[in-house]
Amino acid sequence: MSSTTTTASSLPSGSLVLKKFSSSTMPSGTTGGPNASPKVAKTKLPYIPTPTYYGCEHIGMMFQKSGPGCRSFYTGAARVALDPERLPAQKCNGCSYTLTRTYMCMQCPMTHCPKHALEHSSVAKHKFGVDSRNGHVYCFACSDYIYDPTLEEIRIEQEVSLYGRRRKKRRLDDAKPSSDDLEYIDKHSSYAPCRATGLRGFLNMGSTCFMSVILQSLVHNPLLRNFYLSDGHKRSDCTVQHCMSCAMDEVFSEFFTQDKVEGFGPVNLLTTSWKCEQVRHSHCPLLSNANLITLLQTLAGYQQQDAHEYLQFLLNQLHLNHISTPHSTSSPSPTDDCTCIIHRGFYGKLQSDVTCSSCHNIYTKDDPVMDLSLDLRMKARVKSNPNNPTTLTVSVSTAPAVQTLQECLSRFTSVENVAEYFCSNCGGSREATKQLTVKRLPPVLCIQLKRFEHSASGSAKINTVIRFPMQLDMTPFTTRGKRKRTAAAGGNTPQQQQQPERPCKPFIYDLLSVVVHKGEINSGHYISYARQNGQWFQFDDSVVTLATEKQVLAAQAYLLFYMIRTLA
Amino acid sequence: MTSRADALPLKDELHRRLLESGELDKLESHLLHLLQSTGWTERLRCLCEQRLKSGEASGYDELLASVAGEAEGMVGEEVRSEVLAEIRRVLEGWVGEGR
Repeated sequence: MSSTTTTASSLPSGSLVLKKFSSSTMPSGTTGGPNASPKVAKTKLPYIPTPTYYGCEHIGMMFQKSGPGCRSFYTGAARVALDPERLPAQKCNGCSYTLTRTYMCMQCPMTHCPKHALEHSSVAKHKFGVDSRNGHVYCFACSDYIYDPTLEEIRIEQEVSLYGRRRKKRRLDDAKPSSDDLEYIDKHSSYAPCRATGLRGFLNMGSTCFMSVILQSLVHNPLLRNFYLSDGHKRSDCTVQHCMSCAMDEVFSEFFTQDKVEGFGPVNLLTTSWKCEQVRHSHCPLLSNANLITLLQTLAGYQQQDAHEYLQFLLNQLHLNHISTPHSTSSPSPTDDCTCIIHRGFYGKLQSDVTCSSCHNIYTKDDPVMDLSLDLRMKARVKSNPNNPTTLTVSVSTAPAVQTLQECLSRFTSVENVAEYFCSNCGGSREATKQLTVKRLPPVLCIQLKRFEHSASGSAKINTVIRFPMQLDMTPFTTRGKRKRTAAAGGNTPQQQQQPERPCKPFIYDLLSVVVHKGEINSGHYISYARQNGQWFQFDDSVVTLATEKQVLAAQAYLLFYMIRTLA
Repeated sequence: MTSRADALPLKDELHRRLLESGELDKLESHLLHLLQSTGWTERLRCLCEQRLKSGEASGYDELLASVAGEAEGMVGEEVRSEVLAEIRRVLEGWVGEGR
């Protein structure tokens, strides 16, 4: 890499360093703004414009010769590279289809595999290739990938704008602090200590490991972390007694600004959880009143609780404790309009389609969800023998030894038979099919694997191994994704076929944290894994240790937290 | 198969099918998952960081040349056999049909 510019976001979280990359670099302490006194102005250093950065000298020369041409070539190439439906980019002009990466020439409309690309660059003297897999620029003269700021901007923009919704380009200039701001920041802030990495354990205060694993998953969630660290919930402004959000804010401050590494006792959170009896609102978006009251009653004791239930409780409380803006009503708004960080981060929608088998009318309903609860075993399917309608054959599909998360999601979004359904269209009790698909994906996807089965005969824990990926593509499970699939298979009605679908951007999620339950259903222990700055850690109450990807992927997961890769 | 397809060498046709059907993407993500769960990606990342920090390699081409051999050796036998079996299964599914 030939050029690096440091921005605040690439530094470890919590530290506050601004690199002034405006074109007028001035040493700190001098302000050249309109309020500068003549005395200061006299000692001002001469204006030295910072040279514009280029990715490498070769692209620099090319820009100087034909800037706009260069940009438009690159824009075209990046567009093709980032389009998931593209195939032409994989055809090498020299040797036909190839499975390796290909380079699209930036100066002529040819595409080559690496070997032929090198030949082309020396023969045609075209020095640059655009990688067809990700749009990055390769300079054959430097034998390296280059990251040119101008081209990078274009590449990012192409990624964002390719799939329909045009995002308002937030110009960096608008967000840049003025020189007065910089001075204020200099005077009023301090660097976070190096040890405030956010890696601290939670002291076990009597079977509270179910709490600590959920808290760790939330502490290491970038959306929540950024919200709380940027004063999302100001404790000074909060008037609620026993506010969970204030307690969370305390946790974030402790973890990311204090020079401590010992375990943190979440006393405030515990006592607040105990005291939280207010579900005075008539509807509770996340938990029914009955469930909440039961949970609160049981929280008061030193019993092992279900981490998932605690997660729902905590998210609900944080939503309720959200300080609404002056414009909205004093109580948190219903799910659709709520702009609290919990809804913005975790809120998704499931679409349920029930198709009547007789009249084929489809009844659609939307359900807001904060997480997905997946069954691990296939239910016994009862089929009637078509030849002899009076007999029923029961096929119980025994689950194979190892399943993948994608299989569980597939089952969750597959078409099920509904024995009795009252169809309002054709009137009468009919057979129907039902399908759940994800209509709206949340930025933070929480998946619960239903390992605990409660039945009349007792409770049991399902220990099947579920293989989960580091990167999860949720597209096949979305409403749009499923629609495309059935269209491709030819199972569409004529009306649906008339609407051309936009290319569906793959919804890729990265694994953020894993909650593991070890032991038996009533006497187990929770630990969790979470990722910080690319490195995985294991959290076992107050003990935080390094973990490897291998360890994490081999864990017997109970809860999985995935985070979307781009918010476009 | 159409006559045009007959004119192309079999390898190209297979490649094209792999790309168009999305099977290649599936195979690649399966392989990636296997490599991650055996810790290979992590070890490779450490190796690359080592090489870059020590100055032995700078830039993409040099780094690739420096680690490629070792990296291939680090892939476990079970990963190799599983992926080969997958590929064979996909190809066999095609070669048998539609003559």
